[in-house]
Amino acid sequence: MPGKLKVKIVAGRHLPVMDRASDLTDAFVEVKFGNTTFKTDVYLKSLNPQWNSEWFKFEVDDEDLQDEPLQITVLDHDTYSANDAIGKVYIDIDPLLYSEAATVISGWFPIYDTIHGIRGEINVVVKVDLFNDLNRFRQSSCGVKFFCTTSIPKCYRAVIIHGFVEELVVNEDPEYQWIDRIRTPRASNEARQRLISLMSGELQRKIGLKVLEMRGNAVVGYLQCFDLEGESGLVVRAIGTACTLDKLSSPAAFLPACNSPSKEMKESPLAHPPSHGCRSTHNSPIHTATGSRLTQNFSVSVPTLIYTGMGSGSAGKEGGPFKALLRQQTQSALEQRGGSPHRFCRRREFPFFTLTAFPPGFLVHVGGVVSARSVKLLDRIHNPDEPETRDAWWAEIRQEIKSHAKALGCHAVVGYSESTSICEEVCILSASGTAAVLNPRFLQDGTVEGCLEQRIEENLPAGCGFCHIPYDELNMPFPAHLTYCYNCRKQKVPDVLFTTIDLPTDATVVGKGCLIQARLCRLKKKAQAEANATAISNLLPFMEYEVHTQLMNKLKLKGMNALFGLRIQITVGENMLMGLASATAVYLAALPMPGGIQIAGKTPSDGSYEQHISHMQKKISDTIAKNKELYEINPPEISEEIIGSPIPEPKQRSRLLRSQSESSDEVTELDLSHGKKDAFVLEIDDTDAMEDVHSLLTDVPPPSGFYSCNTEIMPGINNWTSEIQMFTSVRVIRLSSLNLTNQALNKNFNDLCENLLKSLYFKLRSMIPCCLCHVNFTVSLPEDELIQVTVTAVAITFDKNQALQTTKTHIEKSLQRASTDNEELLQFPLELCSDSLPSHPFPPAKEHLESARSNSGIPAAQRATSVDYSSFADRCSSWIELIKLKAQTIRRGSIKTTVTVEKASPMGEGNFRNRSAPPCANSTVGVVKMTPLSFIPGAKITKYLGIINMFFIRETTSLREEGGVSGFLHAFIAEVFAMVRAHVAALGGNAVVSYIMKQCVFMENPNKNQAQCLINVSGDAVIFVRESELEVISTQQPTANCQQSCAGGEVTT
Amino acid sequence: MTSELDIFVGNTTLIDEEVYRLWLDGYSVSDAVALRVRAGILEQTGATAAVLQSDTMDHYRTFHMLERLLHAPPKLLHQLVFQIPPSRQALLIERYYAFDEAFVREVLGKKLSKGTKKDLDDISAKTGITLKSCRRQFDNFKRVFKVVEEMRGSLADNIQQHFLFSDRLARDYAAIVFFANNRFETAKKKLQYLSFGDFAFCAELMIQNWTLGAVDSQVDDMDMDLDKEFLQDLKELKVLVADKDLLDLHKSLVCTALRGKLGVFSEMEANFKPPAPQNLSRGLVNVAAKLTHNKDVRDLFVDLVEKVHLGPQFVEPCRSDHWPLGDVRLFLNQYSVTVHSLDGFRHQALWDRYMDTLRGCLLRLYHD
Repeated sequence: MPGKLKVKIVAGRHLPVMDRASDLTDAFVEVKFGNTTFKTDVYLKSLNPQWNSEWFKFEVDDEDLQDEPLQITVLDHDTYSANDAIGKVYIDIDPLLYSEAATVISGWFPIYDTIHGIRGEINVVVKVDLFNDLNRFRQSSCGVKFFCTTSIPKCYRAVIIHGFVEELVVNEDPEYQWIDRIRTPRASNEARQRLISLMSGELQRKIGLKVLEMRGNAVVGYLQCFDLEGESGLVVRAIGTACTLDKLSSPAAFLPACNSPSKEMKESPLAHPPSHGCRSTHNSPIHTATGSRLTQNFSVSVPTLIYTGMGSGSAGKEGGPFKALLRQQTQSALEQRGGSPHRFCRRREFPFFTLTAFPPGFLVHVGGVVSARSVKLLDRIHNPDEPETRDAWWAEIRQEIKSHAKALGCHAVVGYSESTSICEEVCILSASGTAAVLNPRFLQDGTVEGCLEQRIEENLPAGCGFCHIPYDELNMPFPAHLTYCYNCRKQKVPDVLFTTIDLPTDATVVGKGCLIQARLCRLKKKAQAEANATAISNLLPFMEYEVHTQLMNKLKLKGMNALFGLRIQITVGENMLMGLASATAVYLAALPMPGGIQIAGKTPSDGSYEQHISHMQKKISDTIAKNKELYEINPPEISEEIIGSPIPEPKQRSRLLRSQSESSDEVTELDLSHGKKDAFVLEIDDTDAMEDVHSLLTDVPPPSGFYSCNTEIMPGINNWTSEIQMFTSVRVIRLSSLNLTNQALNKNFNDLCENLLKSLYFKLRSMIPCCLCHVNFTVSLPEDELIQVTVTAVAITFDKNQALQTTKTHIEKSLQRASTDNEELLQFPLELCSDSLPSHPFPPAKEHLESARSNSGIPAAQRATSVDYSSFADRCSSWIELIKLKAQTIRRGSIKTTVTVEKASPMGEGNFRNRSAPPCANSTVGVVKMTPLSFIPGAKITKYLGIINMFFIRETTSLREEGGVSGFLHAFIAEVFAMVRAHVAALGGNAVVSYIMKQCVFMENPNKNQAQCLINVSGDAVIFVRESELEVISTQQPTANCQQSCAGGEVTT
Repeated sequence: MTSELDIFVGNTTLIDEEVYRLWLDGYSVSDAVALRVRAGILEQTGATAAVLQSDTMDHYRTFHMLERLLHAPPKLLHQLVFQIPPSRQALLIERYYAFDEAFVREVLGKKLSKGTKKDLDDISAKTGITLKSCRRQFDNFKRVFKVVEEMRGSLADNIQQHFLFSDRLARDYAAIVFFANNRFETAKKKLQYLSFGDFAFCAELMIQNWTLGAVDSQVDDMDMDLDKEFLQDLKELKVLVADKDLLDLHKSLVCTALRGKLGVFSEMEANFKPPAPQNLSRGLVNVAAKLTHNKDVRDLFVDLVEKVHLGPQFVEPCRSDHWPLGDVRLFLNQYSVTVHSLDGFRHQALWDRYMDTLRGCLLRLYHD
């Protein structure tokens, strides 16, 4: 009997009138935990009852404490008939189970009814007494902390980052049980809410056990999702990153890690077992299993693309030589950095990390985005206790991701996430992440903070190290353009970089970033079962390809060269597929300057057509120029001699790695590599292509004073003020079913997203200057002709004047830095080849260039004219052919105008740490802030109170009376916010960080005047203190190293 | 492509003051959009009409949801669904309960009944205020009335406590409730020149001095009902005009005191003469004596302003003689103070309770 749960019901207020005769209510409360129920007295004739009950005590196992929610039901007493339920409150008592979080839950909770919404509030006090449990074989995992935040929580220090943990549990969906035919909608909804709550608890407990097994004490980046598979059941699954965290005790520690004196940090006392046992039983290759299941359990593996930015390849798992190479490379990389290779070679089944931001020095190199998708046919889950099918599905996908990462020369995947899209019996499973090379010391005994940093900096110049390619340039898994890093010029970098993570804090960025979206619809024939799944899987590669092309085009149009926070969502509907990719584009100083976009017509004979083309060309060039100005992209120019010639393509580039997946021929031929510095050629040979070009230009930039990004913070803005506004916006459009074409569909979808963004800018105009951060779009297709888009984001104000100042100082700084770097380079020219393998001595640049030339398909005459601007037209053509965008001969003249060899210099390191701002005085009592970010501008998080993970169902049979669908959903979302805030306040918190609305499933039946909606939200409840209140403490801290960018950060200095 | 559903929910509820005003004024969404377009918002922000439409709809929906809470403002403060900063809450309440001068003049003193509500379309047509807005204002009056009637304590305080109004608005509502309760006639043509502010001022004075609350603060409805006993007693004041000696003495004392100080002395002196139909003193005293009957109480303001068959009344005669306001004040002060020197007059306290208030009212009502 390891725990005693104590509950006291204090009072109620604003109760609804339940007795029409007296206009009053005779309310009492049932308190239920597990199978035990207590009741309060009936408080007669009052809408504001004062029960002041005794302490109800439940003596329970800690396993139950973790799984079960506390269920409080408010009822109206009726002498003659059955008591009427007013509503319920579910309280997750998990935050009370670990010592550092909340000690008591006490406050006003909205009383919620799935049919009527919030009906009054109830004041409850909950406490838990935990007894020590010495049982080694316990099933509970009390004490493991959970965080939704995808970085190391602000007031903790990571001692060890253990790695990936995952779990899933399945059950039958109560909505589809036979009993649902005879019970009320309310009973059915409540059964569902309760079941999901139970399953979430169980899932969390099981994950906790795995963490304890790994000797960790926390899960960071915990993401729990549920899949409503309909008839076939309900799946609740979660992934996260197991860590060992240490609480930082003094407020001093809240300052960014770089200045806390951590040298004396002792090696972790925890001996680390070599195997990370979470899934060690899966030692047979998954692929064989796939085949055998095909009969009952149809599954199609989709050939995947690796988004490195430059290209994709269907990266496969090749045999011996490749692996050897990889090992060699990783090893050399590790040796170079002084780590011992054997440590890294531990057997780690899935070296995945759900984190998107890392302690300094953790991330060594970034390879590119890896993603995998698979189409499955759902089948009834026969035995809920053995969720093996779903487990195997995910294991398969993860395996694929892992191999993609390997192909990129990376041993880990960061910023990892998983998602599903379900329509009827078809399910698309998706996983994506960023292949990366990590500093192995962090994974074991490394400490997060400074002690490692210095050593790393010896090898890795700050702000560009992560851009350097982790793969071997001579054996690249895909064709790519490499140049020497524009920052350190010692190592090689790709021309474009795509990632799913946040911008590393030490990254050097020029100008500001912006939100980029690729949107795409594809019609699909309605089909059943296998035929449907096959149709979908045939479409998927094309969609991925087009999404990638759009992203690339838009990136070029913005004059930028890297994407962060890339999230590609593919949604399946009855008769269409939707793709939506969002990312934050930035100009990384370490990467080369992107070339322009050039348009080519197919029929040059036609004069008016030519004119049209040149008109379009002008428009595009103008847009690029305008964007550069808008986002302040003006990297300092550096003459070409300093840079050195671009590195030519390696001879081996023709060696394309092919996917092993059963994809069609065209797909494996996909070569997404885009021209490097050359103008990027788009050919317009039919209306489709024309549309594509037009759609490029329809994206209007946000109005002045507005910025937007989907990452935590906006690159280039560092002086946030404290006003924040989190919001959710939902739109559903009905497509006219007549003559629906892909083109019309695309336009509709594009307009939907653009109009939504425009509306947001308009609504939030009073906050200007401000930035929309963490803009998260979710698309779903609830019915045949309906498209639903849900956006959650936070608007944060910033100080414009300070922004300007900082930029200036940074440019000055960077110029200085650039010149010193140049000197260095001249002194040590040999370092240029440090990255190449010893067996391939690096030839002098010019010579290499020539050899590559002769290999490429450019006619000699052209080569002569383009010596200075190495162009690789042939590479453009290989992919363009596929979607009728054929590369034409690049016009030299235009290249000369669009391409100037420029070099960006390191600048603005520490830009993003400095979020201090003049504090705002308007903090009022009782306000609970909500934000999808992991921090609160102008404030320090002093305590994490526990995870908030809530699931609600709302249903109505009087849709018109509740203001139609908009009125219904508006009220429901407002109520969800209210319930989240109430729970946080009851835990003693004043904010939710890393808030996310994971699901918003909306179904309507206007003919029956009915609608139903399911919402799942999560986040971390925290206590924050305004920086102004901490000022006294922080001024006493040594601020020497940190926050160089204090130009705007007067608070701490 | 049609928008089926379009919502925006902020953690902090966004309140657009401009749209709130349009909503309160009773404009439909399309009218509000048109008005916003006319105000040049599209040019200022570069937004499209569709964006404006969506934004307006959204705000209207929010206001519609808030309206239920605004009916009991303390609920707005304690509810958990909409997170609204206190200053914004105050603004929402204050604006919701604000009323149009033109409207309040139409219903001031009328019974807040269904009958009056039926006349709202006439009022709407007459004032140019939308019917919707008229209904809201009327319902507000009625709601406040219902809540505070039969309540103990100061009327304005009760209103403030239950509706969280600012001082000023609470006092205005106290006046509205007081007028509605006592059904003072305010709609007569002769009274049209008076503003709501004039009446509210009088109401405040009357509440202070003439109600039950002025003598006993432990009674229900103490500020709403006039003190019946006091009104009965006012008959005693008749002696001031009925007793010729007393009247003459009063007159001579006032005249002596004011001689040379009053620009309109001769007119005043003339009006003081007993047989003259326009006897100021008689007018003032007669008004007092009439207040025993409910119907006459209702006509208080008419009597004060207009000449009726009963005899010479006050404001109109003075105005027709073009008395400056200063002279009126001097006269009234002297007139009421002098009564204390009349040895034969025994109702000094009653006189003060009556005259202090009446003097204040008269001075306020005395304008063009």
